[in-house]
Formats: sequence, structure tokens, C-alpha cells
Amino acid sequence: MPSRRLSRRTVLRGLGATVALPLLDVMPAAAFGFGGGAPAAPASARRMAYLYFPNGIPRGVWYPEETAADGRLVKLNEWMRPLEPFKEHLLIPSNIWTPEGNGHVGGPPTWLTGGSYDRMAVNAGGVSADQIAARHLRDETMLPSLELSVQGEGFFSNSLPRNAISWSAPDRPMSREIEPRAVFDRMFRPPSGGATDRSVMDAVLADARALGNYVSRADRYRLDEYFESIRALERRIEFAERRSTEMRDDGAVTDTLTTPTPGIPADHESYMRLMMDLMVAAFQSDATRVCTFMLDHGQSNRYFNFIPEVRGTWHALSHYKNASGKTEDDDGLTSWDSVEQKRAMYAEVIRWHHRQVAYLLGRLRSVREPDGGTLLDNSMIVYGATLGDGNEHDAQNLPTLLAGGGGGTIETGRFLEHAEPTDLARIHVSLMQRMGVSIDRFGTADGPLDGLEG
Amino acid sequence: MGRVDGCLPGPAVETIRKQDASEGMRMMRKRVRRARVAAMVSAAALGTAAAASAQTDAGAHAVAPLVEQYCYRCHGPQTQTAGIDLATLVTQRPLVRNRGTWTRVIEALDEGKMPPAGAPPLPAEVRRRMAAMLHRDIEEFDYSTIDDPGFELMRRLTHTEYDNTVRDLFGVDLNVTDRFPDELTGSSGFENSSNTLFLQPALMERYIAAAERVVELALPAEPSDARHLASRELVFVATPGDGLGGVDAAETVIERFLGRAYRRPATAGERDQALAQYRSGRAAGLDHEAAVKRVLQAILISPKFLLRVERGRAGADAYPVDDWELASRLSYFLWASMPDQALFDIAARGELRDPETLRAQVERMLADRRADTLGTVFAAQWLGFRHVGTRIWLDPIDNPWCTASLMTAMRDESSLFFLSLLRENRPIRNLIDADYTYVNEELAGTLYGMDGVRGGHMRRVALDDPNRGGVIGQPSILALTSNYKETSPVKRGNYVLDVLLGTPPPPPPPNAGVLSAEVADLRGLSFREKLERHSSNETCRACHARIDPIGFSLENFDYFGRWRETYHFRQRVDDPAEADETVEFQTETSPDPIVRHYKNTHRAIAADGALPDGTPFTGPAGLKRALLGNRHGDLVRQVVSKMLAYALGRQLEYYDEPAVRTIVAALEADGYRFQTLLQEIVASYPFQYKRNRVEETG
Repeated sequence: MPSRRLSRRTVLRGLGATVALPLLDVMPAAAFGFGGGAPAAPASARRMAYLYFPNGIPRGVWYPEETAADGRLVKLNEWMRPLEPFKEHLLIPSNIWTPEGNGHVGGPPTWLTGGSYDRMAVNAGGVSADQIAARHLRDETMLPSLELSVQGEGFFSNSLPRNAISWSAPDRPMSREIEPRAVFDRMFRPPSGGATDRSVMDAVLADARALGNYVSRADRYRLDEYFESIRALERRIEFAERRSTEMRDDGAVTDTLTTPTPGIPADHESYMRLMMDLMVAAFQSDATRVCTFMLDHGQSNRYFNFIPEVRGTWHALSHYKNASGKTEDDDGLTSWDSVEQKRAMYAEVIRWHHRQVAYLLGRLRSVREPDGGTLLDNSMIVYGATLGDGNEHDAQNLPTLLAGGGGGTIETGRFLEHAEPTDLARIHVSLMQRMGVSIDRFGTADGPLDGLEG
Repeated sequence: MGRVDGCLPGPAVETIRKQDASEGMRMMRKRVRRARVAAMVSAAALGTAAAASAQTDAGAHAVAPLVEQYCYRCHGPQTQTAGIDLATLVTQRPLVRNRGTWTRVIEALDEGKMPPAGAPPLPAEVRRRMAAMLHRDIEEFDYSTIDDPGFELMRRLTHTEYDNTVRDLFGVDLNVTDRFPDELTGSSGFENSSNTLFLQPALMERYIAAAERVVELALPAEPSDARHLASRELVFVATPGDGLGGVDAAETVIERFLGRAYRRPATAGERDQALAQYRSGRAAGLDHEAAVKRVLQAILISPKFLLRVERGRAGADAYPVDDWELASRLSYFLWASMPDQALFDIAARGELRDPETLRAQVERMLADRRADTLGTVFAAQWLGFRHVGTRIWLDPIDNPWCTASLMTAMRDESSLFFLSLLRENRPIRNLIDADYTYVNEELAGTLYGMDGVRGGHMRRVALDDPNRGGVIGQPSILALTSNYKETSPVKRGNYVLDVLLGTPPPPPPPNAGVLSAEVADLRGLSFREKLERHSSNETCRACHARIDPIGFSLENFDYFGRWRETYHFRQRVDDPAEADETVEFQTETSPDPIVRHYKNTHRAIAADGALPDGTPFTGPAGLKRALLGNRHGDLVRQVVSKMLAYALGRQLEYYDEPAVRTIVAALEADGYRFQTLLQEIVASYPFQYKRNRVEETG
């Protein structure tokens, strides 16, 4: 959207100097975003998000219970009930898979790259779709992208592949933020309190550039990583400065959002919803247009005992066909009366996540955009997993859904049935194209997904 | 238990997991293409390799057509059963690049396990010929043809190294990395592995904020305690006054700080640039100290501080790192921190490469407290006990005895024990068997059932129980190889084979699945009996017959390492008359209360075990004897490999084999002493040399 950027710059020049950001914790954190009178509001900036969940699903809890002859969603199944109020905003494609592999380990790194994961080389086979979109848009927003996750539970919490869906290079995962306050600070506070001034950075950069001649040619790759990170930061500082001149006290963004306290909220639902609030704030304020959120790491064994009716840990529950309580990561104390009961608890954990996603969709739908539509209308949110049936480690029928209208480019409210296994990477192509990326092939896909427009 | 298919948590292990679900469903087209690429790459590598031998010739390997004819059906381009793709491997030369897999192939051929029943049989003569060719190229491979100390991208400091380096730079422990993004680990299992140390924007922001914080915390404008004064003394080595101008003082301070932060003397250019920053700060109205501090802050975000920089050299030949770089390799290996002044001084005199000097430095550094990181970082990550208290814990409400201080003591025990092996120069066998350990009152009383230990500090105690002593008898290790409140013979067996011996059982076949529902639901069977039924399944038996018996021998240790003579079951029974206890409860889904009856059962533990080769033994003491008797060589090799990988900050590759063998030989000549291991690693070729990546030499 070059026209918009130009006009904003013009406005800035008119206003004169840059203004230091005020201390945000002492003011209502409301002052961001584009108020009624904001000049050159984005006509219909599209937003893209990927929400990942681990451990698959029990077969049969994803596809709708009733659809019309033309594919229109009439009724979701009982396990998807939390999303029922949003069904006109959903597109549920069937028979999705990733031909190059998936699962607990190889799944997360390749979910958005369409590649295969090389463990020894730490290589996801490509740049992830979100990062391609982020790179395309990086001069448009303060942060090219946001990568969110939650604090891990279970043995594999520090495993790299299980924690990385977003890759800025095939061998370079983005680090994810798990602390709400850290996310807030990255968006709404100047880096390092604003004290690191330009001249210091310039000196450091000059010095670092000289280093390029000192190290071996291969090592310059790592140095490039350094420069890229610094540049990302500079862009952010620049944007933060500009944004501060545009503040409007219209309460648009953050009537509901106050500065989070440092640390991890103990209540998991509050925690996850707070992260989602931050996501909404990021999209609403145009701090970024690209976000990934791992609702948990790729083999999460979190306790969901806080859900009434659920006992045991997530990954253990996913192997529901053994109800003895003695699968390898059951806690050894929890047992179930039957396979059906354990399966129901497993599905309940997933339904709990649907409730959180419904919360997010509700928030997005409640935000009005300058073009008159809602933030949800302008968003494209893929929500899914890298395993089909968790008990079998099924590689087919990956639970996948798409929410939001993509700025009027996606006809939602439909079940998109595929007779043949259909490559997830096609969806990535479709979304990247809608974010303005000129791309036809990606990973294993040689084109976009047919039928999004209805 | 039941799930044996690939999710066996072991510390620092990513190598044993099942291939992900659809591994066997990959598209053929893709595979073929990749195989071609691999062939091209290895051919390119060979063109420039320093030494080529008959075994590394380009072109099809003689064994390739045989492998294609007899193995591709299950391990070829279309199907990769158990994740093994021989079509690709046969193009990766020399074949020792994938030594582990080829060794398994040789084994399968020798033992007649492959091809399996039902597949077209392999004529005996062909089998012999294939095995012989592979033997020659794998087991008899002439490693002297390889001259490659390896190369890894320069890497950033780990969070631990960052904190330690800041501590040594400023003389004060600040631990500012608490809220940095977590370090994630890949297949080496160590955080310091170059291929998992990234410099993402999110981290860079933390570095910039931390630089500011460090300088403010360590050198506040108004020093208020002794620590502040000590930091000032370390940093402000000159102050203006008494004829010394501000610029001169700044120059002295900055030059010294630069040299320490960059871990080599500052160049004139670097010094001048830093001074220019100082002057511009002064010109902008900062006072002397504030202007100096701003320069320090900039130094702390320089890649020369954040990265472990080593100078590049032109050409294809291996070259030694310089003395400053060697000093850093040494200090980050032994201390996970920067070199100290003594080490800098030796490097400055150009004496560090003198073998005697180097030996003396290793000894000196090992005695220093900073070398504790070999226990708290190296051993904790290798043996996995760093997870105790974080990943391994019990709900404190149900288990009030399982306190944070207890779990700290468990970690400390293992780490102090490992350090004692190093500092007392004990033989490697003591890792498995020793007559002492470290406890405090809580650990001794709660888990060892030991009286007479008073107070919270850890101290050494003698052990006369042959089942204890050595890592296998330590609660931290026994807890991390258990499930929540239940032992796991499979995890324990796997731990011994993989983590301690470096001989992981092959990953389970994709369809191994879980214990079948019928077996799992059988009431009244002991866990051992269930598992043995599982192992009576042909698919599972081959591996579980090797893994489980080791775990069974440790069953006298409960899930937190307490000794027990019997299992205590609370077994569900249908007949109330049989019950010792009846529980009634309600759930939201069931309108009627649910009643359950339980019977208490005790059963003696049978601690018979066997090594994979069939050697029988009983109990932990028997396991320790058997390991040291039959598997000492594997143990030594594993300790060498793990410590070398940590020292180098990278995964070991096939070209490291000569170094591993040299170190093992030196150990053999010297009673397998731990300090010999340290010395030999430091003296090794990959520790002192590097070689440019092949693509750079062309």
C-alpha cells in the first residue's frame, strides 16, 4: 500500500519533529490505532494469522454435522460447538495433508514451509509462509510479524522442532514470545526505554560491518543475521516514533487492554486470552499484520485438569485407545473407565481450545475497520494441527480451518470438500497472494487452493 | 506403560524418536530429486577434499546395485520403513558419514534379520558379499584418509555464557537473561550447539535492553555497596585528575574493557572509534562517567562481544585458531565464560600453544570454581538432570515432601558427583560405580533413608550399599527416567543404552503403537508381565528384549529413587468382599454416584536383568558390574563423544572419528582418567584447528 505510506509520511513531515514516546504504563494504553479522523486510514489492510495446536484430534470431531447441498455450513458438530456462532466466518476444508511429512517433531517446523524437516541440520526445508508475507510487508508495519506461544509443559518444552513453526530462513527459526508483557512492550514501548540512541547504534553497525572482512565467508551468514535483527529493530524504532505523532485518544484499541504485569498468568485460560487480546491489539493498531501463535508446543503434555470432566495430560490423552493410564507419558495415577471416556476428554481439551479461538474471533469481529467492515472480515486465520488422528499419528485429514473474509476475497460459511488429499501449502499460497506476495508455487504446492472465492 | 513408539523421553535425546507419521508416504518424485542433489553435493565435496582415497571415489558404490535390488522395496525411494532410506544413504560418501545406520545394516545382514520373512530372500552368497563390502567401508574404514577438524558458523553466547561473561567482565552476578526467549535444543542435546544458536530480532532487542541494564546495575552513578565499588575498580582502571585528562582516562578504561569484552586486544581502529563515541557523548553534555558508560553499552551489543568470533583464513587447508581464540575455546569449554586475566596474559605472550603450558592451564582452570559449569551445564544437559525441578516435579499439594529444595539437592548431588570425578581425576568407571555421593539432610532423609546428616548444605558421604553410588543409583537420574509417580523400565533401559552407552536401540517401527488394549486392560498383571506380553509381540520383541531387562533390574528404585522391596498395588476389584477400600464419587455426567472397590496388594520385586548380549545379572549392583565388565568400551566412547561435542559446541560428524579414537587410545594408556579426557580434548585436532567450509575453498 505505497500510497498510504506516502501520505502518512507527508503528514509526519507536516507535523515536524519526532516526539519521544510517553511512558505507556502510566497512561491508558488506549492511545493507538487509527481514530475517526486519522488521515489515510488503511482501506482494507489484510491480516494473516496461523494458530497451531498439537497432538491432533480424535477422528471425527472436525468436519461439520450438516451442510447444504452447495456446501454451506448448516450445523457444526457438537465438538466444534464453541465455533457455531462464527460459522458464517469459517471455511472448513477437508482432506488436507502435508506431503513431505508431519507429526510431533517434523510437523511444527514444516507446517508453514511445506518442506521436510532435517533434524541434524536444523532445517525446515524453506522459509515459512508467514515470514514470506512478513518480509513483503516489513516496511508497512512496525513489527514485520509476531510469533507467540505459551510457556511449555511436559518433557519436550525446550525441544527446538516442537517449538518452531515460523522460519525466517530454512535453518533459522523465529524465537517466540511467551510472556504477555514482553509482547506488549515490543509493540507499545520504545526498545530499551529509548535510551540507546542513534549514534550508538550507528557506531556499533559501522564496527560490525568491518567484521565482515575479518571472519570467514561462511561466518558472514551469521553476521547477516545480526544485521537483519538490528535493521528490524531500527524499523521498529522509526515506526514507534512516527506512530507517537499519530496518537488519538479514541480508545479504539485498548479499552480492554491494560499493560500486562510481567510474568506468566497462572490461569491458563486468562493467559491464552491475554495473548489473544495482544494479537487483536497488534492487528487493530497495525503494529503488525502477520502473526503466528502456537497454542502449545508440538508434543504438549499439559495438564488440563482445570477443565471439569478432564483428567490427565494432553499428549497422553491423545493416545486414547489405551485407557489403562499407563501409556508412556500418562501420569500413572490417572486412569479411565473406557476408551470412549478417554477419547471424550481428549476431544474436550480440543473443544476448550475452540472456545479460546471463538473468543479471538469474537474480539476480531467486534473491531470496526476504517473501511466499515470488521477486523475479522479483513483477516485470514488458519487454525489447525500437524496430526490427524492423534492416537494413530495419522498423517492425513489434518484438522484445518480458515476464519475471516480476507478483505472480501474469501467466501466463508462453507465446507470445502476434497475427494483427493489436498496440500496444505495451497492454502499458504492463497493467503500469501492475498497479502500481496507475488507467488505461485510454494513448497510442494504448484498453485493456490481452488474454491476460496466460492 | 505401553507407548513405545517413539515418544520415549530421555534427556538430551532427539535421536530415538520415531519418524513422524507420514514419513512413509512421501512422494517418490521428491525423493529421487533429492537423492540426485545429494549425489551432486557429495561429488562436489570430493572434488576439493584434501584427501581422497579409493573409498571416497565418486561414482556408484559397488554395493549400490545390490542394495537397490534387495532393500529398496522397504528402504528405497518410495518407502522408508523405520525411516531408513538406503537410496539416499548409498550416495552419501564416504559411507561412514552415516556409520550408525550402516552398522545396523551390517548387523541385520550378519544376523539374517533382513530381508524379513515374506520379502524376496537374499542368496547367501550375495548376503556375504554385501556384508563384506560394507564391513570394509564402515568398520575397516581408514580414517587416516580424513583430515578435517570441522567448521561451524560462529555462534552467539548461550544465555548461560552471556550471564557468566557479564559476571566476569563486571565482577558482579546480575543474571539478566531471565526473560530472554528460552534456549531450545536440537539433536546434540546441548544448548551451546552452533546450529541452534540464532540471533533473532526478538533476542537482539533483549541484548540491547540488557546492555543498558547491565551498565546501570553494575556501575550506578551513585555506588551504594561494596559490590558496586568492586565493579568500579574492575572497569574504571583510570580516573581523570592528578594530571590525567578525561580523554586519557577514558582511553585507558575503554581500551582495557574492549580487550576483555572482545576477548582479544582491541585494534587501534576499534579504540579510536570508541573514543570518538566518548567525545561525542561529552560534546552532547554527558559527564565523563556517563560518556564512558555509553561506550561500554555499545560494546555490549557489538557482534564482537555477542558472538564467538574467530578470524577467517583463505584456502582449503586446515589451520590452527590463534592464541586468543584458543583461550576463548578453553574458557567457554571449562567455564562457560570468558578467559580470565591469567589466560589473557599467556595468550598475549604467545605461549598458550606450548603443550606444557596448556596442560597447566587446564589444571588451574579445573580447580577454579568457574569450572563448576562442567557439572551444572555439561553434565546436567548430557545426563538430563537439569530437568529435575522444572520438567520433573510432583504436584506439591499431593506430595508435600517433594519440595523445591529437595529437587535442588537432587540436581546438586549429581552435579557435585560429576565434578568430583573430574577434580579428583577418577577413572571413567566411577561414573557408574563409586562408594560415595553428596547429600544434605533433606535428601538423605527423604530419599536415601539415611540418618545422621544434619543441615541444608551438601556434603560428601560414604556409601556401603553397592546398589547406590554412580549415576544409576542417584535419585535425579531415577526420577527423570520415571513417569509421574511410576517407574518406567523402558525409559530406564533406554537411558542406559542411549545416554550412558551411546548405543540407542533403533527407533520403533511406525506401527509399533501402544500396548494393545487387551493386554493393557488385563487386571492383576504386574507391569513386568504386561510388558513381557508386549515383548512377546514379534514386532516389539526384538528391541524390547534388549531394553526392558535393564530397566527391570532397577525396579527396586521407585519413581524418585527410594529403595523398595515390594510393589504396592491398589488394584481395582469388582467384588466388594475382596476390597480393602471403597471409594464413592460423583461426576457431572453421571447422575448416580460411582462406586469403586480397591484391594491392596504387595508383590515382591524381581530385579533380574540382562544386557542386550544376554549377560544375566540381578539388581542395580549387578547392572553396574555387568556394564563395567561388558560395556566399558561403549561407556568410554560415549563420555568422550559427549564431552567433545560440548567442547566444540557442535554435533560430532564422521570426520571427528579420528579425534575420538585418539582420545580413547590416550585414555586407555592412562587408566581412563577424567583429567586425561579433558587434556586430550583440549589437545585434540578439532579443538585447536578449523577448516573453511568446502564451498569457500573453490
